[in-house]
Amino acid sequence: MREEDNRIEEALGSLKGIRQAEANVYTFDKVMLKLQNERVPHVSISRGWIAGMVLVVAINTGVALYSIKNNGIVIKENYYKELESEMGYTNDYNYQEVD
Amino acid sequence: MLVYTWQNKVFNTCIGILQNAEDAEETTQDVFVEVYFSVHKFDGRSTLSTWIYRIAINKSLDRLRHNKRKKRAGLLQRLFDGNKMNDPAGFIHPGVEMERKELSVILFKAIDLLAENQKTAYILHYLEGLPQQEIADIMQTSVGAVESLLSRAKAKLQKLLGDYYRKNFK
Repeated sequence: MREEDNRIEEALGSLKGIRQAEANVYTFDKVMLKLQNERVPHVSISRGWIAGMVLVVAINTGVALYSIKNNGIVIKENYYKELESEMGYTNDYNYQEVD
Repeated sequence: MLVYTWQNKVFNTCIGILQNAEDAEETTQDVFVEVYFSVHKFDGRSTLSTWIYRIAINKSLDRLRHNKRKKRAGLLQRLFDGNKMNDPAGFIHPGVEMERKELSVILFKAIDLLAENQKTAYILHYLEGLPQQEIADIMQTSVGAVESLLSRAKAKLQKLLGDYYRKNFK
């Protein structure tokens, strides 16, 4: 038991005279590098703002797509009307007897 | 200037808690980054020394918890989970005297098993050589509480070392 107690005391005393550990000589440079990386615009946007932006973009995209689709139809219709007038085509199914 | 003045103290504190030089270096850098960004929050109620030590302790404990979470998720840890005092790998503090290195490895294994607040108080007192009043300021507690932490830490270390020596030196 005494021997065990001695060993314990020796272990506990192993930090006597301990010198301070020294940091890496490049610590300052590495800190500067980390600070530079931190300075790159780090925009913190809340989730609410992100959700809002997504909604606005989605609405605008939907409107744009709807508009393109409708304009496409309008363009087609205009094209056919022009063709009708040039060629004398008709969409009118009220056939009348031609004397 | 702040970095050059404080880097060794911060590193010594971090390495005592983390027992790993790489982690301690990384944490030391993180401490100074935090100091840079939080300097506007320093209200002068404590000394600069106390404030920097407090950041160092918090960053070190955060990293320690992160490392332990990673270890717990590891399969090897589950397979070989046993008495950690018998783990073959040991930490040798670079500042320990040559003839005491072997003993210090065993002591550091035991220190690693202390509760966080006991470990903090023990490291600040025996590694950094800080007086109990300053430790109390850093840990935002009373001198009496620090005394109690040191006393409990020592008792726990004696128990752990006793168990270790009984098992390994029959």
